[in-house]
Amino acid sequence: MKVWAVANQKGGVGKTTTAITLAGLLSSRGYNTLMIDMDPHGSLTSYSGFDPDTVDDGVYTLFKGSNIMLASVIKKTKFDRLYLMPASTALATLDRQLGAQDGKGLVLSQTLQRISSRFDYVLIDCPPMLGVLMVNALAACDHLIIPVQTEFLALKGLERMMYTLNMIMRSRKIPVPYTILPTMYDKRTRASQQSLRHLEEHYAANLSSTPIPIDTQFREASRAGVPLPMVDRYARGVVAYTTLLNYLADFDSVREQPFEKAVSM
Amino acid sequence: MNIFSEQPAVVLEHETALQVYFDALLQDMSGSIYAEESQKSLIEEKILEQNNILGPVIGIAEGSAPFTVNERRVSSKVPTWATTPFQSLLFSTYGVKMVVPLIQLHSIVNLKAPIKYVPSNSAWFMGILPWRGKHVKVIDICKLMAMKGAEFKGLEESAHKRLVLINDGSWGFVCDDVSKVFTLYPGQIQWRSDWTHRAWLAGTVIEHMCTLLDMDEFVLHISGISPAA
Repeated sequence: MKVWAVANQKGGVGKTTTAITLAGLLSSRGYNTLMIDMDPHGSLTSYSGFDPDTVDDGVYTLFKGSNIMLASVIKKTKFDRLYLMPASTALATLDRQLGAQDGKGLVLSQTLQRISSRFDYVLIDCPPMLGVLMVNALAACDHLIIPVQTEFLALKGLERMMYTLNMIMRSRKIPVPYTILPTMYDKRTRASQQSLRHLEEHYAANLSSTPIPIDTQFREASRAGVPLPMVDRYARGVVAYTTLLNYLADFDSVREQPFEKAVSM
Repeated sequence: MNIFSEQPAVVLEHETALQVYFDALLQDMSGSIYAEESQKSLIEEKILEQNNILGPVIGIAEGSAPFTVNERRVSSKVPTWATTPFQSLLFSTYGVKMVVPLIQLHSIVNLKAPIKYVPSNSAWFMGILPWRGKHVKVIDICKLMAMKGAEFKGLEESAHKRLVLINDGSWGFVCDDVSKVFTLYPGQIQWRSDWTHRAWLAGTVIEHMCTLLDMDEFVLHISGISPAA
């Protein structure tokens, strides 16, 4: 089982879109895929057809105790091989309740150990703020994906994220490979071009080769509650995410199925 | 244990605050992924108790052979790690300020659990503290530095709030608090010229007028003089 976390301390950079699109692609390729929504806003949960205000068990349950029925916290979505551990609004209270209690940053990684034989991939959608939820995600993941909107303020947010990541790595002791993913790229605007150039100059070693372009179909897919790859696998955005998945394959041995087989699905 | 449950007297420096926060959250507890290692340590401790030789188990980090003196020093004065600017931690113990290079530290943890007293040891060896499946050997640096035969009536042990882990986390020393992380340049230090005695006292940080400690030398020193070595 491979665990990928999608994180950035800045909001609105495409974290949820990245998580659900990659999850959609992986499940389409035949992998049992679990999405974990660590964001109290519950965007990924809503996207998947659950209500964060009324969902019974989910990520919050993990922090309540050790006797947890995992079958109740993992929900099957309406798509084959795609599962969700939902967020609930109560997640927003965890930092207040837990503070910095010893070991509470390892709750998720310990849970994932229990289900490692059941899933091929886990995609974690992180909250846009530093706290016990983000620390759990960064402690549990094998690979970190950092979406960065191609605009000036998002670049400042990336610096903050890199700083946080370095600090957590000191505590975690094991380094985490990470990939910076330029998102919402609009090649017609100077701001996008300059931002991408900045990323290429400063983060070349960890930069995804293909930026994710602005694609209005993502919005339409979220309105329909369907991952875009399952609506249009040749949409511009999906093609870019497919390139990202192939890029991540260098780390995790994800192998693209033969093109003919993919088309016939 | 909630490290922010009590109102801190002094707000920690930005980086230190984050590091303490992350260290606490990522500290392993019993029944977790380190349970196996923890269990092994408990068994080892029982054997030591049964044989009435409970004391610090001395050793350098596994897989890392001790450095020779020449490898630890680029010259007769300057340690290898101090040839370029390096990050340092300023801390105080019994109100005495000292500095250690960050690169030689393992973790900083809050000291709330009691240290298990081990009889028949020197006053500077405070005992053993279970931490992440390890049994950390806890040292009181001030008492170690004190002259032979000195009394410690003026030293108030209850002031110790934190434990600074060094080496591979098997050793630690207590301190009142950590105050800040800052960059030190080799030129800001008055290096000692005599390395034959207490080589772990590396020099004096002129700006703060306090001692700079070399933890590599420190571990070698306490490993050599510990009664259990």
